[in-house]
Amino acid sequence: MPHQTISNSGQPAAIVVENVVKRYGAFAALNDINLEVGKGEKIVLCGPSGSGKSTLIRCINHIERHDGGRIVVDGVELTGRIADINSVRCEVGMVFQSFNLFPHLTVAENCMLAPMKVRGISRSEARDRALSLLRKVRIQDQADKYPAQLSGGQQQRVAIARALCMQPKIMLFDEPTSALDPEMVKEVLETMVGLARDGMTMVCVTHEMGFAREVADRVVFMDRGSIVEEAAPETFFQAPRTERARSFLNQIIH
Amino acid sequence: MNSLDFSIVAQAWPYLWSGLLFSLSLTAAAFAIGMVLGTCLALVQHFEIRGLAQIVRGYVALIRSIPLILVLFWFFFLVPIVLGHLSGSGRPVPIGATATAFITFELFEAAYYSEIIRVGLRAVNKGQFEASQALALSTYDTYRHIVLPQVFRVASPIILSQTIILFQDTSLVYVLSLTDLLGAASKLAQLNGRLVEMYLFVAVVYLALSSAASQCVAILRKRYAVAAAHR
Amino acid sequence: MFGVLFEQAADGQRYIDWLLSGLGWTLALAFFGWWIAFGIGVVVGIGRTVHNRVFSIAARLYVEIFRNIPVLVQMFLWYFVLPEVVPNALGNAIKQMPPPWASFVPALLCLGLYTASRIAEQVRAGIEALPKGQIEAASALGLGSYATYRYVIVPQALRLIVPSLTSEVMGIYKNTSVALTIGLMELTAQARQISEATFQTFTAFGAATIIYLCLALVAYQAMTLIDRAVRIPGTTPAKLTVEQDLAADGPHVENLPGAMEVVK
Repeated sequence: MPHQTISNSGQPAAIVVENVVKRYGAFAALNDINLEVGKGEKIVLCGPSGSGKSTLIRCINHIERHDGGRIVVDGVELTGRIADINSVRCEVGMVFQSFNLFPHLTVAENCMLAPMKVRGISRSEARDRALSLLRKVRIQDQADKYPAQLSGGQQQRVAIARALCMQPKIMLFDEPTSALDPEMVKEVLETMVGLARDGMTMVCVTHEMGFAREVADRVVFMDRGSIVEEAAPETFFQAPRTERARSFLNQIIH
Repeated sequence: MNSLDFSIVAQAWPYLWSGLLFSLSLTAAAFAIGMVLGTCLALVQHFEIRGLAQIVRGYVALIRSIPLILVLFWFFFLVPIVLGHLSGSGRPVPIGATATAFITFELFEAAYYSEIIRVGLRAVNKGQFEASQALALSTYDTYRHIVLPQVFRVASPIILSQTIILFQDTSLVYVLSLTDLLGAASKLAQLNGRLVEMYLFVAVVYLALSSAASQCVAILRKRYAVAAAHR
Repeated sequence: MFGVLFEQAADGQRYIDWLLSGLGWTLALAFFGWWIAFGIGVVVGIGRTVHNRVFSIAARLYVEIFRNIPVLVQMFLWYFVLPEVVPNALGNAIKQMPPPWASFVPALLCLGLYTASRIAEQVRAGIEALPKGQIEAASALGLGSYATYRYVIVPQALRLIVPSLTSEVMGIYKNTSVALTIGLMELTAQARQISEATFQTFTAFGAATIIYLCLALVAYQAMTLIDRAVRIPGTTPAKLTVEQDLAADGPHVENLPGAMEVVK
């Protein structure tokens, strides 16, 4: 049953996470998480490694299955049903830390495969769409190369274009810049900023605080499987309320 | 030590050539069908299909533990009986040594190829599955377009090496008195008494073909290593 | 079902005695062939990695020739061709060997030399998989190339390839059956002979199959024990399964490119 939740802004929420629990054996990776993301909202998730931030966004498109609580994405609750999961995944794009491009397909083919197989659009339409989104991430001249021929930053931009080709309503980013050499971080962040300007709903796990300041509506700080603090970026960076957030910020800024 | 006379080989060439063609077609059939079956066997194990996976594992372990000659003898004996049961008559259906050899090599090689592919499947990076999931690709599309192409690519040098061994192993159909390259040479040698020239020639042909194919494997391997380094 | 094996055959023995005698020849061939193969394989494998051109070309030629001719053809070369191409006196001496030896000796040479070419490739892969720093450290310590190989390289490489050698052990015992083509009455040949004498094909082949399976199990267990015995304390255990030669997880596959090849 589609479930509608109305967020504070009065619009239906894009993502609702209620009392979500995820365990690995005895270890609780997520411990009673509540989070609501409005349409068009940009959230930056941060926290020390092992805090559960990646697990949370992986649960949102069901790459990991949550053990308790509810996750509702764009009005569809993620139960075990394959149809629900797939309809959610069509609306949610994901970008991984390690790119996960398909090495045996060209850049364009990487972008064309899912729209053709899942959305059922024609090859020529898929190629047009792929090229226009590759242009958007400023990499259209590499369309017929293979991923291994590109730099890390270029590969990650391809991964973003690949996700966008499914015309998702929501984009999830799982530490998109942490596997990159420093000089390539900027080009990927610029792409993400551009996407944010276009009004995309975004949940980003990242430690790029400049990015958070520039685009985030809210920063969500997690530690040991719980949300410890939620605030507007200015408030969070200038006056973190909790000791844990303070020591985390000290570590990443030093 | 008698002097060698290789003109005898030239005279015998048409017959030897037909033998070589037999060896090559047996290799090709065993490769094609063995790969298809082997992929199925590997997927059955990979997906842990209940009941079936155990049977497949047993089959593969059994085939890999006993000599090919014994497998040939088994099939020579069993295939007519099984076919008899399948046809419903219950009486053995004699299908001849050639058909037996083809069936044996196809099923036998399937076990070997399935091991290569099974391990290749395990070697595919977890991120590939996650990215496919995130793009909402179905399990079928994920395996058809993402996973299997990568497995075949990564495993291609090993698959090719295995096929070279297969080509050499087809000479064992000698025990079924078939006329493959070696069988042809052996039959001629018994007629004309020129064992030395015949067997030396056969050895050279096998050596040339297998070495050439091994060079291809080496090139493939190098190319794969380069591609991996670029990643 | 196996009752027939305990009946008496035409020669006064029981059929089970035929099988056991076949097993004896199979084991003898595999055992002695293995040591020939191991000795030559290690030397040739080292030869593939040294800088000396003569050595490395000779080693390469050895591997190419012995690996690229089918075992059965090699069997025929040793059995039929060799006595004809050596000086007459020697050829006649070979031909006059008494029956089981006339087949056993060529089969032993054939399997030993063939398997050696495969072991050589494993040894080479093992040596090439070692970190470069090992050779550099050895030369920095002033070790000569013999000492470097003898005390540093080979001991490590051999440990590394124990799992892939398991498949070579399996390979040589399975290949012993090829000796039946030159008349050695090993296990498979005896099974066929029993089948022809009794028409109990299922029993005869079944018994042989079970024996081969037991041998595979013993070989596998023995190699597991060896692997455990020679493992360097503190290193992770090499994965030893029956299909070990294929184990791809971990760095194994990249390190040992030849290791995934399968022997029959």
